[in-house]
Amino acid sequence: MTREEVIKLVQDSDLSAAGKNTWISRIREEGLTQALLDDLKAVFQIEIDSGFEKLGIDISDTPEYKAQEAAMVKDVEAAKGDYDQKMTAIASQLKQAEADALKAVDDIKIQAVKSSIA
Amino acid sequence: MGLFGKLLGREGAQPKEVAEAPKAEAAEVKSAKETGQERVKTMLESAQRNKTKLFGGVGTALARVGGSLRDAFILTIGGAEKGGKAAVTKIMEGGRAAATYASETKREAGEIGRNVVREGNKLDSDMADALSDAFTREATNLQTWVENNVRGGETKWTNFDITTRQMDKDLTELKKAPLDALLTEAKNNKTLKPVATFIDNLRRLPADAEKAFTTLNTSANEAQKKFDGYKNDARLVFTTAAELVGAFAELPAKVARLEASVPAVAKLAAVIPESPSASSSEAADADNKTWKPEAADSESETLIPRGENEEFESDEDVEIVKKAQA
Repeated sequence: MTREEVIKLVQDSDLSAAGKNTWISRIREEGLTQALLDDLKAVFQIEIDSGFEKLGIDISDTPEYKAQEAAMVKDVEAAKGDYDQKMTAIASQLKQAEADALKAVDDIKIQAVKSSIA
Repeated sequence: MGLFGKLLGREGAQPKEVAEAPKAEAAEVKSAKETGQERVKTMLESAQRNKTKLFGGVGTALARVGGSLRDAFILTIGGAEKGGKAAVTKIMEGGRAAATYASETKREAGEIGRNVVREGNKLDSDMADALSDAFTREATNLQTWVENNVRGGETKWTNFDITTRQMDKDLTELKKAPLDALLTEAKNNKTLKPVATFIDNLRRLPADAEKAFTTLNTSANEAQKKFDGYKNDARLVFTTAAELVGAFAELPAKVARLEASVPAVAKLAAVIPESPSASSSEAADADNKTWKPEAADSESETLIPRGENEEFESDEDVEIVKKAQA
């Protein structure tokens, strides 16, 4: 799909006029980036969910729905656990890099002091 | 006061702590009423906060090293009797640029963070007010209120999301700001090699954090896509039954619209994304070229010079530099 086709999808949607304008501006400004497409899909899905809800069609109390939802949460939790581990490692590397850099600067200070005394 | 403190004329010139690692968010408490979607949203928001904290940690680390480096060079200039003064001055300018950059990063992150908080508070407040109004109305008006206000709420959420994205964009641009002066000098100087490594890390680690965040979002989107697909398919089966019942005159039209919306989501999922727009990266490049170190911020913890005639904090410093430049 091209940008114009996605814009048409937005225009044809049930989003409010203000919402449509915001999305069309974003599409024109940012292009069809992954982040934008993900956000737009989420908004459309909210519209769909809300539409079904208004129709009184609720499947959330079925065992199948609960199993599917639990599977989704489990997948995201696993990804979040992986992310947290990576961020902890990155923070630790930052800490080490700073400690090394400060030590190097300390050495410069020591040399400077020695030079001034000698 | 230690030897360095005496020599530098101030306590605490030797940084006692290294960068504080952004602590992992406390495990989110899952409420019994929380839906799967809400749980996913909470986790992603927590990830976003963790990433922002890391960026703040990078700015703080750079401020500490930049400040300490500046002190070291002032000492070096004071102690050096022979040669190398011009080179040391040049390196010091790099250190100053690094410290200023750190200050800018911290200031910008703080400002944008405050915007996000403000937007979030405004959103909560508006929604709470609207909700409160709604419950004071008669029940027969509730449906109308929901139709009018849910959409308004979504628009506010969209604005909130845009603010959050702007924060990412601004920080990404700031990360490109020139540390090159210091990096070049540090790489040419054996003693300063760890400082060069540090600067390289400052550029690599936020990029690694971004990559980890993107990976998380991709996984989360994939999981949500599967779940949404299931929901849409399962509910469409129900709508067929509902149409047969024909309880409401407008039901077939509503179902038709919903049926049309589901493929639209599928179509969006199939779009091949574009790279971030060239115009925004060009703008970032242009910003880098025009970046001015003297735009330092008063909130900085570092010893940031404020202008050409205020390069150093004390008269003693000024004397040292005058001697060095003579």
